[in-house]
Amino acid sequence: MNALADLAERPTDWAGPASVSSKAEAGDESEAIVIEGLSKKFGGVYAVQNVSLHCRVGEVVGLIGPNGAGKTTLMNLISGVLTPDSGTVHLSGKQLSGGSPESCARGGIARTFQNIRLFKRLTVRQNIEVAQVTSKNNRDGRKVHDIDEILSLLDLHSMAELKAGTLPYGHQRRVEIARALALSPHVVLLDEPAAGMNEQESKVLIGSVQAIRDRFGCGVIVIDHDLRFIMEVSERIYVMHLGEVIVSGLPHDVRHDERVIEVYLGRKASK
Amino acid sequence: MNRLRQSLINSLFPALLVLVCITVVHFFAEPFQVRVAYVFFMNLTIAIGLQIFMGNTGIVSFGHISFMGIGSYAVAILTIPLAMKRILIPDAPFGLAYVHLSIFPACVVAIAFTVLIATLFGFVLKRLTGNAAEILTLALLVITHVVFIAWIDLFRGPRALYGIPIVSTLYWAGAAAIVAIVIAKAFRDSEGGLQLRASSENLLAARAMGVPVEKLRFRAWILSSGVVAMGGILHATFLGTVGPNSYYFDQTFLIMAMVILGGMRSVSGAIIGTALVAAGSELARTLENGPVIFGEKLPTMFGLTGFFLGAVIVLSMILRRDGIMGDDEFEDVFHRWMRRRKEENSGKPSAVSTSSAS
Repeated sequence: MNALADLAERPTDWAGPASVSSKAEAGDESEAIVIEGLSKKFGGVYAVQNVSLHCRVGEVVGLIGPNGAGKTTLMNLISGVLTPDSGTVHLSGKQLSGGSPESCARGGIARTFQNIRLFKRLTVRQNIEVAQVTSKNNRDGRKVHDIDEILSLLDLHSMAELKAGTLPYGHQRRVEIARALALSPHVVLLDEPAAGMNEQESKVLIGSVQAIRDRFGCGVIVIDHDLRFIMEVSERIYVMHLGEVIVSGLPHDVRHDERVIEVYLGRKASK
Repeated sequence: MNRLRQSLINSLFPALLVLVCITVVHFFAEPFQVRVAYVFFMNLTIAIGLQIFMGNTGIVSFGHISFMGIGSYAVAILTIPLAMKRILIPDAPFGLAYVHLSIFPACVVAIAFTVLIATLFGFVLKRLTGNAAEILTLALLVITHVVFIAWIDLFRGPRALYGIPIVSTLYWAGAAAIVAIVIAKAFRDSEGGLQLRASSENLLAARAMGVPVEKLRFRAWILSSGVVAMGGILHATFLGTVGPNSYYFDQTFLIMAMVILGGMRSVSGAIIGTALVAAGSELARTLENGPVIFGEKLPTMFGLTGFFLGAVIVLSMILRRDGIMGDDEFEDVFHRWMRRRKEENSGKPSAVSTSSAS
């Protein structure tokens, strides 16, 4: 009995991404992001070890793994919060230079946080404006997304003038995503976007993530513990364990993979 | 451009308040009340200068009164008549004993020099956050005070420099306050101001949104130093004398009490805080001297003004940490009131209550 197989079912009309390549070229512009050999050690212990992954333009990629697998560390490395010991990140064909969060944001990496980090005293619109200003000042030819369009997409229009800190939790999660989109990013990193959401809110979020991919044409990398959510929203999935990517592939393949079942449920459960 | 226009429109109300105040004082006030109004506008200019930095960066600065001192001393050294300077500071370095400027060029040079000093400190400060940044501003205050006291050839040490032309009037002070308000509002409402306020709430999130925190913090520091220097010039050109103790802890706590009481994140808060603390300080000063009330001579209460300022800061921290205005400006309060009235008239629930319920 495959326990993971029960967690999520794909819609029957879903035929997978148009093109799923197992290998990505760093200079390929159809790749939103290509990460090669990223490693980070803390006190001699690898938190992330030789991780390579890629996300194509207009693709939603899931990143799962048990607690301590290194998912959030990987996000922090990609977004410049942490400096990698080795490895490269290419964004839309260009190698990312400089490792600060600011330079990563200007380069086209937007992210949300595991623990919501909104500017709570600012209104929802102002939260989004903060990121849009960066996008406007970039002058690298990327389109500056309209705030009203972003608000509509995430169903936040009615609360645009409210202070972000006064919103319910689920709305705050959506504001974080809206703010990330205002950077006009090549790739959006969503760190546990469905955390704390009920089933209904998660379903709405799935629709929003897919709409983001379709409307804004950016790559989306999603981390979440809610496997049902990840299986449903992602076109490809990477599974991390103890800092390494152990499996990658289509959701259907991943959820039947023995190694994935082993790391999630333990060896005995898989037998 | 829209932001700037909106910001100028938003500055109209506080600027109008200043003008009304000047008009009332001009027509109805006694000379001592004119003096009180002058000091109020001078302190308002300095408080707003401090608000530009503290309000947008979230870093508490103990060092801004240094800029007031530098502005005051600079304008003093440049404008004291040469004959008097030969008596007061005959050994002034860099040939300053033989330099004399008229008041306007001296003001420009004083502001420019203050900004130059602020720039040097700014290179260090912009990289720091939290306690480290605040300790640095405290160090700045102490360093400048020690320099004023110890560099006797230039500043005359603990003794006052006098002979500064007393040219400043109530209108100067009012104009400076209006200029400070416009600058503070324009910066707060600018894109950079918005980003900087965001960074004061959550530094990591702001950096992850590409906010150039160091650059914006540096900009706020420089801008605020220039505005506070204006206040210093008003001080020197009104009293005609400058001494090192005018630019130390007493003045620092006075201005901080004003900004904290009103709400350090709001320019309107700085205005309200300055007005309330100025009124309270005047009252405390009157009581301090043991006035006669209803035929009863009250005892003298030395130190009551200082106690009052301390009480203002402590009570603000306990009762209303965000100050009277919090994050709001006058226009925010007005728009909220208008929206509530509109909703009451139309009978529709507010968006706030809708979202809270969901």
